[in-house]
Amino acid sequence: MTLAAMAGTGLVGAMASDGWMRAQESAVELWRRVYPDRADAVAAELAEVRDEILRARRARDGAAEEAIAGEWCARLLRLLRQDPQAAQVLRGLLEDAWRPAIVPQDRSQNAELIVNQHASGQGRNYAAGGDLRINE
Amino acid sequence: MTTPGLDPLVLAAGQALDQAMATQQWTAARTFASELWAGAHPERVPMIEEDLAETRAHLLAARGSGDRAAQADLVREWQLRLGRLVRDGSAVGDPDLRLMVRRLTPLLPPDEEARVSVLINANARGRGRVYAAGRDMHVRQDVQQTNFFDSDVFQALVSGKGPGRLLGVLGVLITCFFFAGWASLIMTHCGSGPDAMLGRRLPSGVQVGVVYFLGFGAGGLIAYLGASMAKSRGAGTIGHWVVVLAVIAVVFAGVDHVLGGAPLSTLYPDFGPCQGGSRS
Repeated sequence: MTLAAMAGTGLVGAMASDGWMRAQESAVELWRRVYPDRADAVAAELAEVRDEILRARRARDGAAEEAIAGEWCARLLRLLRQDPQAAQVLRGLLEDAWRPAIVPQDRSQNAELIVNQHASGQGRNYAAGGDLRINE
Repeated sequence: MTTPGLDPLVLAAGQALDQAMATQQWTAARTFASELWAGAHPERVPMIEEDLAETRAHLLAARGSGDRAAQADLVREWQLRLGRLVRDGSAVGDPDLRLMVRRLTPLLPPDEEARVSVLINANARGRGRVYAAGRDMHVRQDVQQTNFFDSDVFQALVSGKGPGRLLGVLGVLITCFFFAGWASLIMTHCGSGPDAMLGRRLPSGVQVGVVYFLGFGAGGLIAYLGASMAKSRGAGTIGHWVVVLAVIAVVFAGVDHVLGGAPLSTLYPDFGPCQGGSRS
């Protein structure tokens, strides 16, 4: 697996976590380093990406999340092409910021995450402080 | 190439955009994409333009080295980014996306064009199923109808451009007028026999019922023609004005011919009572 592919998955995972703001900031910094004028637009897009990932997770749509990781892999790959020196920075972000954010969530975190959801259309929300089993 | 969770139209648009970047006319394709993004996020247009130029380099390199995974990621990227652009509440909607696909398709090599149209047809099939749930025989008919006939005709009359819109509204009015005339014949049926059914005879020898019947159909065709023009790329061009004027001239000439000198009021729908077996 290439660095860009691992970093794409790591970024998407971190954006779905509670530490998403730090992940977003660090990613925007990386973009600012290579493309100073695109940083704001990337920040806005990453915020939309977080909604997308959370939606995919609620729908238990692993393939959708994988597709988003593929997108950011392609975008990171282009960034690295533009500035090969950025690879060192990217590796640092992946190891120190993005991967640590993706921890198996404990129960209290999980509950908080679910309570923050909101349903629209035919969507359903389930909230639980502990174990939750849904048979549909 | 399909990306989960996305509408077939978005899939087709993303595929078309990505593939168009590999062609000679990639700058034209990039302009179409910029115009689309400008509708919702004008501040992101420079980023999109640069990203598309880099996508071209990346795509050509991936093709050169036969890296299918990288090519697939690029298609997914643009499908997802277009999906993000048209998400609920965005100023950019399906009609804009459809317009971009229509502009991009001629830039594509034939095999790519076919792939994009497969995705677009999948879109039509998806909608057809909604209309005829549980009735398999009808699903197929709906699929074909969706392919050949545009369901957005009335939308074009509201949001379309150029003289076609005028023609569309005119067609609707003509249809309504002759429908009312036909209704007046049926509801206040005087006398008996097929001749009486078609109402009084005009000086030209044509019965008003025949005029109502033909006018109703002609109005529908004119409305459809107008709506199609209002949605087309060349909306507002001289050619469209010529067509509109020609259609109006034909309508006037036709009405004048069947009236045969009688005043236009002869054709007005008449819901009054019968007078001595026939209406005045």
